[in-house]
Amino acid sequence: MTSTFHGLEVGKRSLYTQQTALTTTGNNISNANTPGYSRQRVDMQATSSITYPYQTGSSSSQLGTGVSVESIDRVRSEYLDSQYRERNGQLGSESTKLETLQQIEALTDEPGDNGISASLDRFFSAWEDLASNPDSLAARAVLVERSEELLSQGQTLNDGLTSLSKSLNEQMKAVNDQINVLSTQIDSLNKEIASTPEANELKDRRDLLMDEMSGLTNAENIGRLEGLQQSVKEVESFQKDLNEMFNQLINGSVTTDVNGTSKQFNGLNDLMTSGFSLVKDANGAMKQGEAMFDTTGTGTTFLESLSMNQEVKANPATIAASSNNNAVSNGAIATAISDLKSETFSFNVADSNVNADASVSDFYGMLISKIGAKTQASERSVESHQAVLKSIDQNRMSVSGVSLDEEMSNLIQFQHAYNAAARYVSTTDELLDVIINRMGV
Amino acid sequence: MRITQQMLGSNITSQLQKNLSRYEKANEQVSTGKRINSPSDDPIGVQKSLKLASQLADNEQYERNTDYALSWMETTDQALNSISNALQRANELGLQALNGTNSPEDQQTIAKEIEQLRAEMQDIANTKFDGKYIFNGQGTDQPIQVEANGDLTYDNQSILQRMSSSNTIAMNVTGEVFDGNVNLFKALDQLSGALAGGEKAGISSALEQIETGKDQVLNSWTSLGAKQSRVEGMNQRLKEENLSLQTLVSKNDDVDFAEAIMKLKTEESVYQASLAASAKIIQPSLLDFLR
Repeated sequence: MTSTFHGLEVGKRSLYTQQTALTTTGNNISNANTPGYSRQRVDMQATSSITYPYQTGSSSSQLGTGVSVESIDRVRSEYLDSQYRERNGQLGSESTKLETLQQIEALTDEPGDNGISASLDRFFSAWEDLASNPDSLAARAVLVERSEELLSQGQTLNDGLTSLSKSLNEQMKAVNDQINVLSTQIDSLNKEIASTPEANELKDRRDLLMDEMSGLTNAENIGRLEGLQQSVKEVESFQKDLNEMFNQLINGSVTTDVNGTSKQFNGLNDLMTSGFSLVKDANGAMKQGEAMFDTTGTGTTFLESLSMNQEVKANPATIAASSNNNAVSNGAIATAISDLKSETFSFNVADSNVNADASVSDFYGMLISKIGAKTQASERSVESHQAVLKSIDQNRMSVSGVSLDEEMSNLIQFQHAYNAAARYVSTTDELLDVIINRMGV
Repeated sequence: MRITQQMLGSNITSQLQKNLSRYEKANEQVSTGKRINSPSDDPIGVQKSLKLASQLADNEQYERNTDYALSWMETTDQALNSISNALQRANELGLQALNGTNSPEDQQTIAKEIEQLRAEMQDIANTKFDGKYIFNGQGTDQPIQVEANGDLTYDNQSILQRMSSSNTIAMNVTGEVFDGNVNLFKALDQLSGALAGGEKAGISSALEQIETGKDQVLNSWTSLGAKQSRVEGMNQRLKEENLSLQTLVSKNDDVDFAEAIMKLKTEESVYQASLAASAKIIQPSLLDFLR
């Protein structure tokens, strides 16, 4: 036998359950745009039935007792989460590198008329002009300007790289701080979740924080932090190569022809001081030339320690073009320096044990080309990571996202069930009314 | 696959972003006219571009050098012409003195004219171009020293101009043209001395000297002419090379405008279409149809 009020209990359970489902639907709709929110689903279960032999003869049957809410679950795939985080780490690392490489590219300002390459061309062109016109003060004045231009181009790029690596180091600090904040938050969420394992919102929040964390660093140590470390290396090696280029040009050992005889020199400065300038001594002989660049300054990089020789800047006549202390229209030294454009220097390449034998402009071209190729590769890799990440995220959203259409149809479904349950309660009420008030009176 | 509103939203934004960035790239190419705007656009192409620009700079430099050499040689050419004329005139005057029936006064006048020619010769020896004494070898800041007896002090070194990385030319004619087999000043002095003294034998031997001197100048002049035409040819070749280099640079660096504009137009319409489609997709949900 069932209790007299069994029917009311069944109706009440249904009302509660449908109402919970309606509220959950409402909650889903409210959070349709909440980042990290996973849609929730009410797990309804029929409550255990009772044995009901009455009127069924020997085979006893079971009578249902209604419905109850077993749990309210969030719909989420942990597999997709781990995929997402792995990819997000790779993207974080690669996109940081890409940003840095693009900044290096922008700093070089190549190809164009404003880059070092064009400056080098103008610099050597000025030397060739002097070679063609060795006694010209005007050619010397132009040469001083071109040298200053080349130096300032190199130094501007060098300074840009220094401040880039400084800002990368600062970013690294900020990322580390962020990682610390995130792990503290995740840690405290973990504790809360341990005490209330059903807390869906806390889990969502933790997942969101872990997504964010995965972009910065993950278990494999891939992420923005690692990207920043690699970026610093990229900047440093480019800067080293750039400084090496200027160092070789100005000080590097080179074998070149002066007046048809092959001789070894230590770069531009050595060649300049080996020749004779327009300034004459008391006997009317031409004095030895001055070096164009002063390398005795202090600085952490070669370019920082480099400056124009003030003597040359003040008096361009001190530049040596002649290999003969008695001939103003001898341009042998200027010709030899102009030849440095195509002479082979041995460059000590950063992060490599093998030297690169190339001309100055070829070496610089190689640097630019290398940065370009790296940027291009990084661009492609970022694009592919983005595409994969997006498809993973789409899958995740497909699983966990709130679909308004779905919620609306659920809403109607639950509303109808609620209405019907209410109707069932009033029907039961009418039945009871018959038994209590009208029978046997 | 279950599609949610959020997916639509994120899909639309990322697609629009992609389309817009392609649109921007196409626009950059059209507005700069350059195919390569940063090294990563074409890492190999950029190296080629730098190399070509450098070659072009070299070439323009050599073109300037040959232009300069041509002007220099033009000046030398005129100077040699003047020397030749002066010697011719001296020769005529000498012959006139030798053959005609001239009074001692006339002989004196001729001798004076020869002295004038000598002074003119000295002026020619110190011809300047671009502020430089062109006949004094590499010592272009000093004039050629002509002593009273006709002895010359001059620098005999060549001034080399580069016409290509491997090709140089000595563009100057040194004082040797005045002081080779025959010292022209001494020959003129001898002639004017013989005229003043009325010695016929002296005059004819001086005339022989002048004749040899004329050959000497003519030799220099001919070789200068040959050099001039060589430099001229080089100058022409450099100009042509310049043109072909510029074509190469343009091929490597510049966009094909027709193609770039087509691409820009395509990207534009793709972007507009995606905007229009997004506007349609975002709005409706079941909500709009439930009453």
